[in-house]
Amino acid sequence: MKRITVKRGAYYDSVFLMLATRGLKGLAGVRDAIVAMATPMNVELLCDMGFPSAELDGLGPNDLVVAVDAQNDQAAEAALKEAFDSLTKKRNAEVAGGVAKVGSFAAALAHDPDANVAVISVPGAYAAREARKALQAGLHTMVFSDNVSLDDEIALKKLAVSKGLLMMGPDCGTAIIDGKPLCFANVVRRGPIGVVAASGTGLQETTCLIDRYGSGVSQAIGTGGRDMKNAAVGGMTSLLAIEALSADPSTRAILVVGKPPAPDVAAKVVAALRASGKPAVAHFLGAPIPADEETIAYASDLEEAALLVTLLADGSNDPASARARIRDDSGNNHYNRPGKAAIETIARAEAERLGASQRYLRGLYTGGTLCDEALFLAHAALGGVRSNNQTDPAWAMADPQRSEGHVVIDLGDDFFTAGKPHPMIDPAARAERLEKDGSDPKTAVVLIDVVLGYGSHDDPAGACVLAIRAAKAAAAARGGYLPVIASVTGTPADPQGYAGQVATLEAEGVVVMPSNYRAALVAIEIAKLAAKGGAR
Amino acid sequence: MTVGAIGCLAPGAPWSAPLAWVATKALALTHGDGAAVAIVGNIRDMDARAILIADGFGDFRAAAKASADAVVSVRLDDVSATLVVDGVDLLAVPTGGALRWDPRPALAAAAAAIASAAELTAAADVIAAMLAEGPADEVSVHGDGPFAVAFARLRADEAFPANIVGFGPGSTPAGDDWLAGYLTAGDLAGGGPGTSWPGLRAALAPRLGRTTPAGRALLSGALAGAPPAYLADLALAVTGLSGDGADDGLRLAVRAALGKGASSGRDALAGFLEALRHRPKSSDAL
Repeated sequence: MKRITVKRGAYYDSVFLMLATRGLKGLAGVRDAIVAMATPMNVELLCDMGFPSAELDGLGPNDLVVAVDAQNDQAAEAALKEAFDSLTKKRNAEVAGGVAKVGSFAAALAHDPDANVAVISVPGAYAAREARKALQAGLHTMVFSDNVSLDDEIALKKLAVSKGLLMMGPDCGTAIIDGKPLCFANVVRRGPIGVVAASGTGLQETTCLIDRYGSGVSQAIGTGGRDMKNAAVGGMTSLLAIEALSADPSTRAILVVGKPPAPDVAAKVVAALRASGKPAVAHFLGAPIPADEETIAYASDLEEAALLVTLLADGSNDPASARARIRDDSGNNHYNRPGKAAIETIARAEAERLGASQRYLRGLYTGGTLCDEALFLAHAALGGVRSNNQTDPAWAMADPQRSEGHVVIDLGDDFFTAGKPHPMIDPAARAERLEKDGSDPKTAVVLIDVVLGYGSHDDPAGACVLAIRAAKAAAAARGGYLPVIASVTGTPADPQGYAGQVATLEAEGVVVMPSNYRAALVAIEIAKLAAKGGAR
Repeated sequence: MTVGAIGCLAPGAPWSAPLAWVATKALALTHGDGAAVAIVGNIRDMDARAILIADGFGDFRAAAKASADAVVSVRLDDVSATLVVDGVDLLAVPTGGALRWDPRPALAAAAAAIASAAELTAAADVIAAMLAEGPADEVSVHGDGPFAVAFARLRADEAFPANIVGFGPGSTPAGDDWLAGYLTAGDLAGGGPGTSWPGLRAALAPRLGRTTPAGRALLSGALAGAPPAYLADLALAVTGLSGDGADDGLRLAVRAALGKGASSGRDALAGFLEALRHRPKSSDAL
């Protein structure tokens, strides 16, 4: 069933057209879709493909054509409606400067009565009230706000469960629902993997890596940090999300990511994954890693979690065969996971010119989960790392503004963000700290994250450039050299563009690794070499 | 807020053109001559018909976007570039001291500096390897989608590559991106800006009406030997490539190209690579 719709004199940028095409191709019953300008060559192509030529007559390069090849009338009609809606919404969003402005939740609902998800981002004291309204109106609810009381969270989640609705949050920074990125989220392919995450940048890192490995995401559901961690909350949202993904025919494999859950909650989550009947991967940062089960793989890091679930969704029906495929890839590097030898080589090359006083790792993070991943690795490998995220009181930072010894800092922590924008939105505070710590004669290596996607700064890599130059120049002036190691959490379709951000960093002599995990390994290796007096 | 540079093929002032769309890095205007004019905020996003707002592009962009429910246009005259909303001047950016952006002298020097065919072969190998690293984009002329299938068919036609003007996805159709890369590399290997493939150039000129305003702007620049900044940077990065590992600059330029648009950079790189592999002879290659 081949159908066409046309918008005359319609202009859209290429990225939007690509996203519109991807969105249509991901719809049920759609065999193929083309969203393109009606140039003579494209019209000829569409005619050759069997689309009705009468509807293409008289169109020109300034007209937009949406062509859908669907399995039946119903699917074609739904796809054309989706296309028309998304094109119209783009225009409407532009009309209102990107946001339809309303004064209340009721007005928002009246503005779009078909909406089935509400995103609440108001001061914490009011967030619970607004979330309750949304749930009572039958909407799945994402609460971006923090500072919602534990009692309110429990009550809201009980209400949500009773209605079969997802209550994501509070303090839920990211989700991808039906292909729509919410709050801080990346533009990833749609695909067979369902993600449940109690960590914002953990969700972003894994979904971006899944995209890079060639797979995609059916749904990525944020739960809020307390959902699994707090026994009283009991993982209510996580369990409902797993149940929903179990029933979702588009989801072939499930990934659960979070900080270590309360023991009872962990048992329930694992039981839910077993009961799902689908292969699954679980990764709880910093927690002991159990042995794989028949259908559940336990990953050691975010990168491994993303790769394992990609392989499980791609025909490796059990963890053992997925791990075998990873082992087989060793050396072929199909998934761009530089091994131990490559990491040591990179580290040696960077450590070669370190000055005698350069000793310490300085990790300066904008993403909390990415910070934790690097912190846990470095703390174990370097024999003690200070951080404002440290769970070991002996290594908690007395003054997070001052770096002493090995340090890995979460600059998105409340300590740094009171009254200021989060560093993923405005990286100025990170740049300032980077210049300060990078210029410290004792710093042997700087480790950073660069997080792309909606919500993030327009050019987070560019925002670091001057600080990196200044820090490297300071090291050079002392006769040393400052290695800067980074990873970029993002995809080619993100508004900032993955390749351009990598190029910006590499132009400044930054070593950009394919994941936060690999970047941390390189930085740790450099710090080890520095302790031995560099690679000289 | 000042205008820092004006592209060498930008229409001479005064003129006024309506706003077509607002993207993250550029605003597009549809000029009365049928080709787009872009307003950009970064020198890396310049092209032959673009205007660079050196500082304050974000404010200009935000003002344009917020006014998009009105009739929005930009007027360029001898003293300023002015954002006009519903007939009222909203924001004027002075043009005094604006540079003329023209990549052709540098590209001419680069073409003259090519010492051997081995340099071009080494560059082609680097680009081919980097193109092979990324996943094929399903909506470009790569991969196995309908555009890729049709592109393979067009390639077999004797009119190729003149027959791909306006072909493919994107506000700048992928075929135009491919041709811009092809012409740029052809110029680098074949004598300097605007000189390679004269038969192809003659065939392309009358076909510019078959593409979008953005495609027409891109091809006009490439035909004149003045491609967008990222393609000019790519061509410059090829110069002096020894093949002995000193290819970091080229890798950076390729990465920057891969980050352009939805698939524009990838398509342009494919054309660039094709021209490096099948370099123009002194006579027309067609």
